[in-house]
Amino acid sequence: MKLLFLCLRTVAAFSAYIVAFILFQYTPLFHLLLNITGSSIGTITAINLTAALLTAIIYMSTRNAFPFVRIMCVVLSIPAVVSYSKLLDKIIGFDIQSYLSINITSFLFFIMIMLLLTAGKLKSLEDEWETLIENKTCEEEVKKILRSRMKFYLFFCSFTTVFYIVMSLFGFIVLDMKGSEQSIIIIAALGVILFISLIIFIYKKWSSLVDI
Amino acid sequence: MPGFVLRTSTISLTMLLAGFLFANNILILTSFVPLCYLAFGYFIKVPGNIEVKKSISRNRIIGGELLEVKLKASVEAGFGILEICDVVPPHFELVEGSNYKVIWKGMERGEIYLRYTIKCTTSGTYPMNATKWKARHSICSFSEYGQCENDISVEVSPRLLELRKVRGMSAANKIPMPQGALSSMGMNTNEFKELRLYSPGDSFKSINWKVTSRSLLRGNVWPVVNEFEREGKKSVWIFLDTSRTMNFGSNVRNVKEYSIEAVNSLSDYYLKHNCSVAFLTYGHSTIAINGGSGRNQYYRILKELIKIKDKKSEPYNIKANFLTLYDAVNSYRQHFLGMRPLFVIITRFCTNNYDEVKKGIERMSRYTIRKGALPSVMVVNIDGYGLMAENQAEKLASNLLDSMNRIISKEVRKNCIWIDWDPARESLTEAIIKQVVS
Repeated sequence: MKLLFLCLRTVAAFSAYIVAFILFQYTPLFHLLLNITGSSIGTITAINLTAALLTAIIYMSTRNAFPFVRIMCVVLSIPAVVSYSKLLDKIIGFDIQSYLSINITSFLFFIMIMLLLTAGKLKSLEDEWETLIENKTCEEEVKKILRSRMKFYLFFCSFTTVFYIVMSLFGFIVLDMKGSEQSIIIIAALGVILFISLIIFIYKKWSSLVDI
Repeated sequence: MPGFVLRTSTISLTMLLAGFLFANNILILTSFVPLCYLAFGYFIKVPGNIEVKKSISRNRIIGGELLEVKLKASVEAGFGILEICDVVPPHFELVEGSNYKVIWKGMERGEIYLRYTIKCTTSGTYPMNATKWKARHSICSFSEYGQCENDISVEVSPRLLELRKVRGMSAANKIPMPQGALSSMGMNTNEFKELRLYSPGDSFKSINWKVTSRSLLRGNVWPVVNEFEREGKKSVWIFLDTSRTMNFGSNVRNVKEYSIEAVNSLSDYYLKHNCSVAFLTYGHSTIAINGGSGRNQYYRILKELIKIKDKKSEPYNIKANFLTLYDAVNSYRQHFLGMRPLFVIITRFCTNNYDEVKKGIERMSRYTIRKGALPSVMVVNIDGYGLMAENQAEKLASNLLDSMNRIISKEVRKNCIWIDWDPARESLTEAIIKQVVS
């Protein structure tokens, strides 16, 4: 079971890295590097080799490379996300048309986040497995418990994905209507107020649980 | 509030504000992911409403006996992993089963059954009232802790060592007996001893009619009589050392526990031989039970012996003046006059208490008579070094220290009946017979 968690965790982290790298490939920064080196294979190999080398060094020194992989994925994917910022577009002037569409970039970024979260969850399940086995709990029972926990986590993932798809449909398609400047400002302000209220509401709810 | 709530809220808010600042739709959209995580964490509760029903096979056991514990816990609300652990006092040893269980609490009502057997070798009153639980959240990485309490406790009496198994008269006669009794069947005194069932030959005057009528209601037709102390009983005074030198050994096997068992066995032995037994402690705690006989006196001593273990946990006050053996003998000297009792001292002899034991024996020898060359003072010295020895080298070292103690105690040994008892090697009976006979 521990080996299974380890394999799944590695696969999830590696998949997150691949997604992050795909996102990076369609960024102005990558094209800039391509212009400097002159070879796409060379650039890809150099980036991946550097990432692999750094991961190996971090693993050798801390015996846990996952936090570094997480940072690396975020670093690689951020240029792709930032490219779609209207503010930066106005200042620097990216040629967004030649890159991935905003919908695909957004979905890939979401997938990467979920993969990283899953890898983190698998790590915590692996630790839990070790703790429970150390406490002399029956192995079959531990398997059953962790399977149930994993199922519950998958339910959370699927719920979040559905929620994300609904939100992206709402955000990218429904709101892509032509409207006056005033209506856009009002909708944006309402959105900000609604979202911040949501965060404050849930935060307050948590704060009221003083006995935890 | 768990730290992850603050972290997740901050991430979500930062992403949202960055999204609005840079006019980035992707950042605004993905800021919903941590918010979902937070919402799941709040709206899906950890397992709660836990009720525990616990029972033990007996409330009173003798040291070394097994105790069966049954526990049923029910979980009404929440989702997630629930770990439950029934707290076992530190002096207990788990023999069978487990006092820990973990379950997954899903939609249905969760039930946990625990059944285990424990053994305790040290006397005392132990509370078994706590059952701890830890509930982990099904999605988020935080746990809630709690404790269910009840009023269950168990009283562990010290073991009765094998003194009563001495059958042969030659051996039994060698166990020191007090010399001071004028007659073993004396006149009745006014001191109430106990209630017992009527036996042929008892005076009708001695029947306790109130108790008899009460027992009649319970279906017992046999009359109950009052028994009074008789004059001329042989008197034994047991002195137990409760000083810091006795706290030697592990939690399960220690000198203090063996000393308590020795007092228990000796008092049982002498009371069964129709002696009046008094019990005193010196060193740390002061317990004094004046002379008496019969089973009531045995239970009185046993009750105090159980308390000694509990007093062990009290911190030692260096500045406090504790009663020495000499002081204890001196303060009760009025009770010894004319009685010529047998004094029994139970201690762990070492260089620290050399003077104390010597002075105490000298003082005792004033109030007792000599049996041959020795006064009626018996010292049971518990050799504790053997209890801590685990390997050959440690055993060798413990033997060396025991030998050194024998050399140091050479002077003191001349003035009393000295019994060296190593609980790791022999029983108390063997130690007494071996050394008294020799």
